[in-house]
Parts: sequence; C-alpha cells; structure tokens
Amino acid sequence: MAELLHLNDLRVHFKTFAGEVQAVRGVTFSVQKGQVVAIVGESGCGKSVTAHTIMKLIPTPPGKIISGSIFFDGEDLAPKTNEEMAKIRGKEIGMIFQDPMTSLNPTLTIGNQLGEVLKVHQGLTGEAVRLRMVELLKMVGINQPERRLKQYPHEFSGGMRQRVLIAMAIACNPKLLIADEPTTALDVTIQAQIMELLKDLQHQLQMSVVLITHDLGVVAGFSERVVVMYAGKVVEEGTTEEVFYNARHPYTWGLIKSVPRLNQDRSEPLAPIPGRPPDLINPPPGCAFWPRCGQAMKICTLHEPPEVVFSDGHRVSCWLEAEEVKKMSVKVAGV
Amino acid sequence: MGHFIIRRLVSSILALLLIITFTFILVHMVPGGPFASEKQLPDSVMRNLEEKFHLNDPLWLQYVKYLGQVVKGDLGPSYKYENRTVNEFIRHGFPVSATLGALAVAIALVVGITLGIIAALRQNRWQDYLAMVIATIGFSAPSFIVASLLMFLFAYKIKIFPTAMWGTPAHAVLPSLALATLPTAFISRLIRANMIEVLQQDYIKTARSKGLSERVIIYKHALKNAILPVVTYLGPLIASIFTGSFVIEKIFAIPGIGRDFVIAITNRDYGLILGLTIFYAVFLMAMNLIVDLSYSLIDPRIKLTRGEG
Repeated sequence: MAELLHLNDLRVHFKTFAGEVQAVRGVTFSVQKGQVVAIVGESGCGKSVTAHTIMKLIPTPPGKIISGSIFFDGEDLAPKTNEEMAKIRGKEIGMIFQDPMTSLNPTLTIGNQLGEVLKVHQGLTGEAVRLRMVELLKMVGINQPERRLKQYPHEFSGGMRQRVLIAMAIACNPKLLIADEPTTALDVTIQAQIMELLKDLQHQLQMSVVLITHDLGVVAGFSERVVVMYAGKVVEEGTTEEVFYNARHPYTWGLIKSVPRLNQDRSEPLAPIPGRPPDLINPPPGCAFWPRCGQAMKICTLHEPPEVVFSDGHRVSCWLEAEEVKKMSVKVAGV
Repeated sequence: MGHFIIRRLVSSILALLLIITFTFILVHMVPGGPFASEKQLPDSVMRNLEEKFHLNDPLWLQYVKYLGQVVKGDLGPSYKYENRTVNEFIRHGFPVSATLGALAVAIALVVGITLGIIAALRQNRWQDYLAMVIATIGFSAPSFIVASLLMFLFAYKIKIFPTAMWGTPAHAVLPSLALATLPTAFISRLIRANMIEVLQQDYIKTARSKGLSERVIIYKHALKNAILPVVTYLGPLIASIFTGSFVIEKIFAIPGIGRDFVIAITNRDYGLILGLTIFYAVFLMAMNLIVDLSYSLIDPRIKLTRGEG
C-alpha cells in the first residue's frame, strides 16, 4: 500500500490571553491509500486540531503551525498559502464536521451549496451540475433528490443534513476524507446509519478516511488503525485489533474500560478515568498522563517516555514498556 | 402571505386612525391659531376666515368632516397658503425629498456595508480602528454640524459644490452626504458586528473546507446572513430619510416636505401639519411592511404566517 498522508512531528500552538496553548505537540502518523485511520482521545486532546490542521482550517492567528510537516500525496501542505490550499480542499481532501445542524448555510438552497463545489473544482456547468448533484444525493441515500435540491437546510433533519454534507465532501472523489466526529451531534440510530453510509462510500470510492472520534464503538467496526492521542501527543498507535485487545498504554486501558457494555449490570458504576487532562499552556514535564495513571512511577514525572515499537507498527509511549524499566522490574521480581 | 398582508393593512388603518385623532386633538389644544400673528386682524376678517375653514364649528364636527375628507384622499387646504392644498404641497415636495433620500440611502448602504466588511475582515487592525473611528464620529456628530462643515469645506473654501438650493445634480451632493452620515455610521457598525459573528459560524468553515475562494465565502456565504439586521433598520430609515430630514432641508433651503413641515409648525398651519403627519405615517407603515415582506426573501427560514402578524 502506498502512503497518502504522513504527519511528521506536527506542532500547533494557539495564542490566547492566558498564554500559548500547545494544542498539538509533535504528532506523527501515516495514512495509506484506501485506509481508514481513527484518531481517538477525550475532548481537548488535540485530535480535532490535528484534523483541521491537515486541511489548514485552523484560524491563523491565533493558531500557528510551529513545526513539522503534513505530507499529502508527496507534497508538504504545511507551507502552502490559503489560495493554494483552496485548490486542495474539497477536491483532494473532503471534510465533514461535528454538527450538521449548523454546518450548512441557512440562506442558500442545498443545490446551490452542493453545486458550487462541482463548479469550482470540476468546472461543471448547467445541466451537468444538476445531474451530478442528483447522483450524489442518491449515493448518500436522499430520496427525491430533484425536489430536495431546491430546498433549504431548515427543511432537512439532522441526519439528512449530515448526508448532504457528506455528499459535498465526496463530490469531487477526494483521495482523503476527514470526518471530525461525524456522529457526535446525532442520535444513536442515526449515528449507526451515518457510519454505515461512510463505510459504504469508503469501499465504493476507495478513499482514505481519517475518522476523529471519542466513541470507541464507532472505531471498532470501521477503522483499520487507531491513533490514541492524549494532551496533544500520540500515546499509542496500532491496528485496531492490537489496540483493542493488546493495549499497552494505561490511558488506552482507561478508554477501553470506560466504554459501557451491554451485558454490564445496571448497578455497576461506569469506570471513568479519574482526574482531568493537563493544562496545555504549561504542560508538565515527563509523561502528561502520570497524574491520572495508576501505574505512575517516579521517572514518569521527570522524563518524557520513549516510544517503543512492537509488531505491525504498534507503538506506544510509556515508561512501562521501556527496556530499562522492564529489566529493573524483572530484577525486583526475581529477588 | 396574503393573510399576513391583510392583517397588517387592518392594523395599519387602526393605527392611522389613532395618529389622526391624537394629532388633531394636539394641534387644537395648543394655544393660538393659524391666523394669530403680530398684526391683529379685524374681528370681521377673523370671523370670515373661521367661517371659510369651518373653524367656528364644534371640534367634533370639524374632526368628522376632516376624516371624511381624508378617506377620500383629500388632505384639505393649507390655512396659511390659501390657494394651495396639502396634496399640492406633497406633490411638489415629496419628489424632491425622495430624490435626496434615495441618494442618501444609496450612499449609506454602499459606504456603510463596505466599511463594515473591511472592519470585520481586518478586525483589531488599523483598518478596523480607522473605519470604526469614522463610524463613531458619524454617529455622534449631529447632522447640522456635518452639514455646516460640508458647506464650509466644499462650498466656501473649495468652491466645487453650490452652498444651498436645489435644481442641478451638483446641488444634491452636499445635502445627501450630510443626510447619509448617521445611517452610514450605523450600518457599518451593524455589518461589522454581524460579519464577525457570522464568520465564526460552522457553515463558513464548511464553505472553506469546500475550497471556495475568500471572495465567494465573504460575499455569498457571509454577507447574506450578516445583512438581515440592516434590512430591519432600512424600513424606518428609508421612511424618515425619504420624507425629508427637517434639519438638512432647512439648512440647504431645499424645497422638500421636511422643510414644509417645519414651516407648517411655525405657522400653526393645522391643515398642513395634520396632512403631512398622515402622509409620514402612511409612508412609514408601507416601508415597514415592505421590509417585513423582504425578510422572507433573504432568510428562507422566516415564514410570514397569520400568527406572526
């Protein structure tokens, strides 16, 4: 498989009145052609900023790419200007957002908003635009597309709007689709439908997908690889199987344990990860997770953990997996 | 839509009736009359005049007779200019006031929206500060100061425009600028605030993610949403400007109905005061109705129904 997207040591900061927020602190991962990669983590871990940075949609200022590169199809997007990015957005990379209720322009018809992508990137006009729009709406499962094109967003339900937004994102057959929590604002039955639709379209169009979510259930059935982020860093990455069944990082354990199970006794309380994520204006030295980690050692508070690579590109940043620590614990156990 | 218009028309007629009644009572309550002046008229002349304008009838009878006339579209005679009717005053004065007003509204819209967009896009940079300083000055300087200043600069110091009067296009420049100052300032502030808010909306992010150019994002996606409050303001603005700013028409000696109104008040010209007041009221109501109808064109979410009327 060929590599489509490669983020290398990406750092993104935001200037605020309180200080500079280090939202993304050296993120590295790749997406192969036709592959689905999920980025998971709790709110504020930098997953959404990472996704927006790939499209260079973070507002600058206050946001700024401090260092690192975003290789897409062999080209670094990081130094590109807004005008250069406009040729890639919507054409090479499509994006769908969290809240379909507010993501469509309330004063323009669906046809107007869908058509402009085709006009700008594919130079289609008149009847060709209309035919393609009808085809796209059918692809995303919207009935009576001809009639729907003339309607305004307020005449659509949340799920239907997300379908329209998906149609816009895939209109030019992009190589990559970034889905930023596409189901968070929808109710559960609609969530499942939208995920099914995304799966179908991914197969059909053979596109790569970066799926941002904090819902591990959504990840399980869809993505090949999982990137776990915490406090602006990748703490664990691997195939979905590896990460789910052989998680190495205490934070990943916590995430998996906190998912409610259907067979769980109702009286049994949910298992949250205690504490809160650190302040990213002054991130603490050492591992950012240690104050919430049941396995924290002294070294975790002082030095950043090294990255340890296992089979299949399964990598984890945790002192528990570091060679030095392992040797020591064997010694202690042997006494 | 049809129901909405009918409801609005009915309520407008009721409001108009109230306006006529109150104005009628007010002008008759004020001491003095149209024929009271420094030069005392002989009693016989007074009696004849009162006879002619039915001023010796009981007040209620005068009121009923007046209403009867108004319903027929006749706003009655002027008491001071004996050979002219109020309708004639409006016929002569309104086109002048409307031309001046249309120019002022056009200036206010073009300059106000442009300044507002520039300020919003360059938020907290010098362009923004400059635009807002201009807007604040325009907002706080009374129009008679602006008018005098314009006259002084562009008619007296640099003689490029005539000082006053009406007739050629050059005559319209200074008064329409003076008249446009306040609404320009108001519109630019309104557009700036709305643009800043709209540009942070999710649908603008969607538009960006589609690879649209900044121009399309601003003029197609943002402006249409940011302009709605301006439309709201436009109704009363057009009505007040079209019917003539009293001060501006007076300063520039422009023969519009604003000036006529001021003269009518100093003359206690009952007929003219009442007639022009009614004309203003009808015009204002019509403008507000047009604005309300145009909402649904700009924002498809707004549906005009019976309940909302």
